[in-house]
Amino acid sequence: MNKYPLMDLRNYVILDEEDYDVSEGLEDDDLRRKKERAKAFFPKQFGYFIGSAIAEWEVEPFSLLQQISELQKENLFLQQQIMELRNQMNELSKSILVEKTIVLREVSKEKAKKEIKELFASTGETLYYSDIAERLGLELRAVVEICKDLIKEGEIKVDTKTL
Amino acid sequence: MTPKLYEEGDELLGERIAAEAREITKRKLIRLTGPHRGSALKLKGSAYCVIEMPLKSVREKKR
Repeated sequence: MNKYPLMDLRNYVILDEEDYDVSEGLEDDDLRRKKERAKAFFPKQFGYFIGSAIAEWEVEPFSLLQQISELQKENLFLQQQIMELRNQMNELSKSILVEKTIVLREVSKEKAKKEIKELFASTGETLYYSDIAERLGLELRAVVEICKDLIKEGEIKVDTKTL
Repeated sequence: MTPKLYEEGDELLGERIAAEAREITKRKLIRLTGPHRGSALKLKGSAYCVIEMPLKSVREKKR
């Protein structure tokens, strides 16, 4: 028995269509009528091709139809699996938190202090320790220490409106 | 000077706490009283936490 009966059957149908193509030179109306006839005739034609395949490859008719049916079932099952996986992937991608990497820089305390002062002066925004650490790529512990110094020096203050 | 808590069993309570650690476990949802929900996670290895404060410059923004 042929290993890939369906693939061969498909090739057989394509070759047969190419060999017997008599559409050339037909008027549009004739082509339309031919298409309609072909549509109506297809189940019969398909049966004919299966018949030919059975005769040519000596395949058991029941075995071939059974294989087609099994492949259709498998195809349907796989399509359902794909849909299920796609839905699960969508749900997962929604739930995954977007991780952002902060690259910490090694800078001296003086330089970090200067940068924090500049950040406050340039933005004019109310900032938390974590905002400063994230924006400037500094260690949180260092930011807290420097900010406390800046509060003492009167450079920055606690925004009581935001509290 | 703000006290630093090092002892095991020390507690930290705040509206907004910033943290850094070598490892942070996956967030777990927890159900609080009634319809309220919260999240829980653990910091492991050289963990550092601070109660955050909103800070702003005493000077006006540069133009």
